[in-house]
Amino acid sequence: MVYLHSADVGLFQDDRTVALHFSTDGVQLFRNSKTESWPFLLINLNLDPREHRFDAGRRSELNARFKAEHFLSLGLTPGPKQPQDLDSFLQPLYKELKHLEEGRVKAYDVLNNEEFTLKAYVFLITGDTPGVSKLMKLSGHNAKRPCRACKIQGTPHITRVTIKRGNRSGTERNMTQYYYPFSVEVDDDWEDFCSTVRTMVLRDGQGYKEDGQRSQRNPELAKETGVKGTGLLSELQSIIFPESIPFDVMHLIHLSFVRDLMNLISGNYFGESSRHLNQKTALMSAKEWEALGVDMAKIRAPMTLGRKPENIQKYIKSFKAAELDVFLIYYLLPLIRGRVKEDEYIALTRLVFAVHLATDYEVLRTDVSEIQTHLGKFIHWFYKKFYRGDSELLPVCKYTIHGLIHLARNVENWGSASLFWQYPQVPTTSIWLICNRKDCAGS
Amino acid sequence: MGQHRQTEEFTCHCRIYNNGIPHKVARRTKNQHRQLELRLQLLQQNGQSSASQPALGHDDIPSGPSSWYDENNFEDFDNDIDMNATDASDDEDSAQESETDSIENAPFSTFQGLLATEHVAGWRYEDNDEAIDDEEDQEVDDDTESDLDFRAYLEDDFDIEKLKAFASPNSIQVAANNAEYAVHAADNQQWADTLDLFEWKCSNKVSDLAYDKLRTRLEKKGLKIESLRVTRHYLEERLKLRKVRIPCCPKGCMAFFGPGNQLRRRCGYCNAARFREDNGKASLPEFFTAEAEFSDFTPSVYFDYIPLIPRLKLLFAIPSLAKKMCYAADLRKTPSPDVIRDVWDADAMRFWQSKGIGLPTLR
Repeated sequence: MVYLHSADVGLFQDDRTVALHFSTDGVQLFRNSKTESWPFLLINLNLDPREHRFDAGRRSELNARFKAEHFLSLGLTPGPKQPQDLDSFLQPLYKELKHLEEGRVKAYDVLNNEEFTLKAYVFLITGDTPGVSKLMKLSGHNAKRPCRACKIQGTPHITRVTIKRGNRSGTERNMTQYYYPFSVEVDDDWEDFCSTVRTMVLRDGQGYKEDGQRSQRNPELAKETGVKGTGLLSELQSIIFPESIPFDVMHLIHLSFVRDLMNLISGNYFGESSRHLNQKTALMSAKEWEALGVDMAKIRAPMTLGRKPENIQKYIKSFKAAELDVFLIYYLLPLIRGRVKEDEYIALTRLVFAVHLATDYEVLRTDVSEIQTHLGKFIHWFYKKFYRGDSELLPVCKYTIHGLIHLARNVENWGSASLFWQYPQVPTTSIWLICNRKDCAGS
Repeated sequence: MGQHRQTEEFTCHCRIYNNGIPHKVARRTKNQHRQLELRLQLLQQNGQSSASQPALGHDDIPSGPSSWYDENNFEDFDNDIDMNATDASDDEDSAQESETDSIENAPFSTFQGLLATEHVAGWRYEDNDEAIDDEEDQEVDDDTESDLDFRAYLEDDFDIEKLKAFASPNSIQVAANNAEYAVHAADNQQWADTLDLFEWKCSNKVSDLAYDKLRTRLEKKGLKIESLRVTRHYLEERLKLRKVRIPCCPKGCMAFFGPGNQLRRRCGYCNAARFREDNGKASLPEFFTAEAEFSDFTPSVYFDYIPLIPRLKLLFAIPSLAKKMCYAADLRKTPSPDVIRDVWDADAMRFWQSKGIGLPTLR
């Protein structure tokens, strides 16, 4: 049995080798129930990602990689709870991939009218942060070492909380949460910040496996290393941790970071207990924020940008990921101009520009360094502006802002971030929402 | 609420992922069962039913909990019964198989030792010197494939001749399970009309109910169209798009599949019983000793897995799909140094294009 290739051959000697992209996500099938289900999806990277192409001036429909009919859906965990042992559900897939990797599958090629050995590999794995943590057995995004790409250590933030439920309700206790500034003292200088980023300890595949095996023997180590074990899919030989698992822009930026940023800017970030802190972070007055929302509702956007823009001041919680995407790229800057100071406007421009570059259809190789610089400068500004080394303001430094620093590396490795974001999950889940509607109509 | 429009994707997915939907639906169908059961009991009390009919207790409803999770219960009008073609056939296979051996449990040899050390490092290497060890490795590998339904599936697959049939000019395009596949219909002319209409149904998202109505109308005009159930069964057979049913925890914690989980009697996380026969029994051992012990039992919930390999084979056997699959190779032939047009131009894929599996080298 020869399944181990010698080096330097290349996996794509045969043009018909299939490259696959595995994607998973926790989905609530019913709006008002607690059932959770995990669809497993494979996307065929051998298909064209573009919807259509202009050939000799005529628009010809190509078969998009991201069309629902070309997805290879594998199954759906039955619920109602989220799976505890995701690997056991992925065992059949793993077996099939091993079977393919070993070259045991014979297939027939119509175009050349010949028999050939079919090979297929999974190269990309995506999911939202908790999903990937589950898949790769990492500690999760609130842990001491949350990051899959580097070994950043969280700074503990202790708050007094009153217990609301249970036997001890009414009593107070300390709650420790971790937040992730790059350094406890904010580097005022850009050069210092760069050197801090450059000295970050990155994870690699070998270290991940060693950490995983060590903490499987001794679970107490998992807290220190941030790795609880080794995920089943990471044992595939075509997966290199963490490069094969890039960050997903839809969850990282659109769903969490944009919301947090808008809350910070408008002064709605902190809850009841520490409301006074909102004044420290707000970039504009409440009146201005209200006026911004009214202005936004007046925008007459073209149909291609999706749903009509709503008043963000009122409805930010109900904004969908696609709406937040359009908001960030197209509406944020014109709306905020003149309402914030010039340097703040420039910093936000950097963010918008970098995200726009990173999620474009095609990315220039020279753009990658530009994305890195602009995102870096934005993050630097973010920490300087909102955190300032103030321990009270530590909750500003969530994991999502840290994740942005790795985005440029992902783009360099895998091309435009729009090729590996999680939007393809949406049509699959929308099939389930039909079921939801039926159920609602019945009751 | 507007009328619910049942799409083909929906039905396909429901059929395939039946136990994914269920908790509200299952409750509803459970209620229906309960109503039916009560009605039967009432009938018995009135003396209308014969004495030979067994009384229906809550625990031994004839169709049982597994069918509460079954796909078609929530389609009120569709009485499709699922064809669990893979279910029955593999009991004989499974009885002979013992617990799976992983590579670590296999007899230790120099090659194994070599592998083991490199396994820690994360990469395995080719070793051509020792042919005997290779054979050993082969045996080990066969043992690891002793998973219940799965070996049967891997053996029962397309052969090349069948795949060639898909390319013949007589084949008909069929949209089954969301993707176009072709079925060679010349061998059986009776299917031509049915598959043509079925393709129309799938691509236009016509509901099952509407399709049935159309079918009865056409039958009055003398056109024989097979029912949905029969068509689907036929396509499942022809396209090998069968699901593999894997027993799993009723609460969805884990699937009883793969090394270490195959012989479990109850879930390792929530202690729920794997089989219906074990429901309500408090203290159970965690593992069975052999697969023969539970060959008669019925798992309470299944996780349905749709195999990948047959679909990949079809991608190359059907001309329209095979042409689409050429995209990546064409893209690779025209390198673009400046622009990353797709995943294929970026660094990671270029790495894999230049390097085979087994890298980065640690030696």
